[in-house]
Amino acid sequence: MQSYANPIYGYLVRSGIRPADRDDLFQQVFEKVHRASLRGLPDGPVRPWLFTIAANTVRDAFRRAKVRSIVELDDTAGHAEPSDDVRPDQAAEHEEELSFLDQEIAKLPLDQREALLLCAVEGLPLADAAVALDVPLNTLKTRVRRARGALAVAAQRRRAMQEREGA
Amino acid sequence: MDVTHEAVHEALLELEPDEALDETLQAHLDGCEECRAFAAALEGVDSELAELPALAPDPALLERTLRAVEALPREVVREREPTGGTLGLFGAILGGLFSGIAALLGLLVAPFRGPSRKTWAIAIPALAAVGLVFVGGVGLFGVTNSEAPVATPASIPDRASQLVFEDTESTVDSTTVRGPVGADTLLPMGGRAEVAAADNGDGAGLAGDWVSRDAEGEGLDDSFFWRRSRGERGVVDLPRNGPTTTGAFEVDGRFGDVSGNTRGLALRGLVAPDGQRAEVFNGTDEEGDAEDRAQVHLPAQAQTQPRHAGYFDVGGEFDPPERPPAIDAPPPPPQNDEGRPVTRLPAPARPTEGLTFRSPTGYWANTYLPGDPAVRMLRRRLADDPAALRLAELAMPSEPSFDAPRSGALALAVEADRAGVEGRTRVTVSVGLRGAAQRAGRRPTLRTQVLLDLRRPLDEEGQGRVRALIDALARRHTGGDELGLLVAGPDGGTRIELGTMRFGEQTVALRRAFGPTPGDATPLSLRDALERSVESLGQVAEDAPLGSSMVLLVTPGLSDAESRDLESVAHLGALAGVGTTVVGLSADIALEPMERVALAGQGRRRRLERAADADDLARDEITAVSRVIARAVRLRVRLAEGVQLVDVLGSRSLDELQAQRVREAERAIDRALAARLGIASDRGEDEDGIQIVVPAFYADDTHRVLLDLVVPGPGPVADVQVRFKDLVRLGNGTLTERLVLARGGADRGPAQRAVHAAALGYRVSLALREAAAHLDAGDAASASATLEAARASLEAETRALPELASEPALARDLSLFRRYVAELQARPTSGLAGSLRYAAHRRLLGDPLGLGGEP
Repeated sequence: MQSYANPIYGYLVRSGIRPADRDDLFQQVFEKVHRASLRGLPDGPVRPWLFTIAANTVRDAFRRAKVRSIVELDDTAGHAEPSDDVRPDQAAEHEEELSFLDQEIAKLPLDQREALLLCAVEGLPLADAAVALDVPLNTLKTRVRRARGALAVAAQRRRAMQEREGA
Repeated sequence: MDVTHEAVHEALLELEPDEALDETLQAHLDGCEECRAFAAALEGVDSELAELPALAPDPALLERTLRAVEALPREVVREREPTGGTLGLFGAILGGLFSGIAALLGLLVAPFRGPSRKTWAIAIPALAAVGLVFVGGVGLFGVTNSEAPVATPASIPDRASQLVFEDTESTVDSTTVRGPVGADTLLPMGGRAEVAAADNGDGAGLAGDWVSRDAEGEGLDDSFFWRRSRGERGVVDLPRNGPTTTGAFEVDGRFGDVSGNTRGLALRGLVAPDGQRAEVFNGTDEEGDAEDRAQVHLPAQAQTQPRHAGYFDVGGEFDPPERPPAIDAPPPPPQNDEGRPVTRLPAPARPTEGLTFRSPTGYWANTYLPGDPAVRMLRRRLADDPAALRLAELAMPSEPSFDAPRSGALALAVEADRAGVEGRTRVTVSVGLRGAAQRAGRRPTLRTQVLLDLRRPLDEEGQGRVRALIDALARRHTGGDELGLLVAGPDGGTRIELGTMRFGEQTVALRRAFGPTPGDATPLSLRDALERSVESLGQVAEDAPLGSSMVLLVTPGLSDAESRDLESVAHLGALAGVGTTVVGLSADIALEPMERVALAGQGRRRRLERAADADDLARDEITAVSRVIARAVRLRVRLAEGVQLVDVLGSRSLDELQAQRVREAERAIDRALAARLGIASDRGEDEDGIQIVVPAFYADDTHRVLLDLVVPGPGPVADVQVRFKDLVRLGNGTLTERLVLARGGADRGPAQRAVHAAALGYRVSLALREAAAHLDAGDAASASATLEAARASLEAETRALPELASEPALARDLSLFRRYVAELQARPTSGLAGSLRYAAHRRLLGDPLGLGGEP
């Protein structure tokens, strides 16, 4: 369980799950994993199977809350691995960029967000991510592409704004 | 043709990493500021996505979740199946229909029949009614009896795994079982089970009750099944009650289902506690594969009959039991034309023939280098080139796949880069250590011997830096700390005796050191001076303070030959608990010789360019030594019979003289800790196996020793033991693990992939260093070629094992190689060599003490 705790927790956090609900959902995911494992583990890799459970749990949570995204990431969500030997000013700048990215990810539509998280953040191969999310491979690719495009546009805007402020 | 921004954006989004943009689109991109900005933003986003840090749940949440999962039922409750009641219900409906039709027909034909026929006409509906009642009753009975859920054993697919029974002093009830995630559902015996998830690289995983499902008290349903892995078989008696007397036995193999239908597990070895009983027989699984199985009886306390615990393969020292005649011995493996066994695996990627093997017994140099100062120095040199610095910072060490210790100072994890083999195979084995998060308490007493290299005179500025450094050290040495000064050079010798420094003492000592050489001066070589320094700190008199000792070698520069001369002394000092930190006094000092001595001496490599930095340097040294949580860590790896050692990656074997000094030094630490902290002395015995002694291990840190081995086939690979002085618990700590490879395919679970990734990381680091060396020689083309070759090799590995793509460090490596090649094309004469070296260091070592962030 421990080797999957971080990826699952990270997925929940970056999916935009409310901090108040996060712990419960985390527990729920592993309870579901346990129950599902009693019926047999998958023949293939375990990660896609785990993320199927996590993704469905997140979808259910949003469905219950009748929202598709809750942007609330500025709490102390988990403890990120500290970046070693980075100067404080650089670390702060880097952290700010990553925080911006997290915020933008949380603003993506749910289908794009989950596709992006599985492929680009959790590093699942496209085929596995498609299986995990139960969508055709091409659909998944499209979602990831759109998500990256949206993030790039947001980053572009931010950079332009910073340049204006700098000027 | 008009090209729109959107078309370019779409093309950029679809572009594969190595793919080039269509010429038309590229032409648009080159001339369009907006599209270039989008491309830059996209590249930034992709890079940042790869860098998003892992988020860890709060340990309390993890614990809570673990408990919640443990509390769940461990058996599947079957959903109601179309048997019994359900079938009865269908039967009742069908029966009713047929009966009704029959009765209707009977009534219709009755007026046209004779008297005898009329009887039948009446009888048919009557019979139909009886049938209806009967079938309905059966249906009702079935429904009633199908209410009770049927417990069925869980089925887990065939997968490589390892179970370790730790039964050190114990009864069966306290036996600890470790196995893959999910295995807790397969543990039907009474007792406590801990599932450590060797298969998933967890180290420690789920824990739960090892529940007996034996309602009848006979225990015959409590069984494991394991796939046979070796030919030995026999019987051993184990005690039925009371504490057992000897150690552990290990199980390795493949999980099957508890019902024993298929596959099963292989128990590879048994150190049998006296009196318990185990027996072995050959079996055949339902798939028809011939299997040898061993049967274990593990008695629960207060039971008169041994409980059947499963089947396993035991050591050959036991007599074979009588076997049931129906069970055949396994057929010999199929052979090829040359008479060699045919394996089901593809040919090994790495050669196993034509290799030179090293002795499986002997001392090897320690490669644990906490807070390597080389990282700090290289980083500092890159401060003026932020782009090169940022590039290098993409490199990161592979994530350790093992958990922190639950108690005590250290945890041990032993894994190979594959779970199973079929024949002679080359494998990489990782022996991983992880330090506890907590520190051992307040910083230990610090004893510092400053060794001043005055073989060449220092200029005024250099003298000023030395004064500032010694002043800073004197200020920061408090309480029982000790400080001394020894000078190497034409006027060598001790200038300040190791002890509490008196006010003004350093001023007098340095005045003499920097003054003209007196007529009666005695020259002292740097090597002799270092030996004397180590000896003075290594002597542990009864009244000497116990703590961290270090030599601070302050030098204006070392040649390559000088550093090689000092290396062995520094290493032996480190083994005796005396680290050697090298402080360079000039800006253009050669890094490699300093690094060599610092690495061998388990110390740090620093450069003091300004007197104003002296205080930070002193502070950092003291910070580094305050995080020690274990001392005298002795790692011993005993290879199983037939396993051959190719190399210990990144290390070197010590000769007999060095080994002897290691033993003496270790005993000195042992005695010192016994005298000062009451940790019982337990060293001094010679041991066989590959041995590495780590003088000190730091909190929150991890270290892997990678062994390149050739194994003859499935079976035991190595027994690993780690003994250490636990400064968390103030006692002796011992950890043991055995690595056994199953028979089977080369499937890699997360743990195996992590080992493979670590070995690849080592190769990545070597490639980065090699590229840096090419750049130093002014050969940018060769540097590019080296990086390209390394990238291609890494991509081939990733293609062969797609799951590797999810290893963040390797994903970054690919990006790193690409970017360096691009940078080399853009500015081949720039200071990228330093960046490459910095990346190479970061790739292997990281910066566990956080010293890289130079204040």
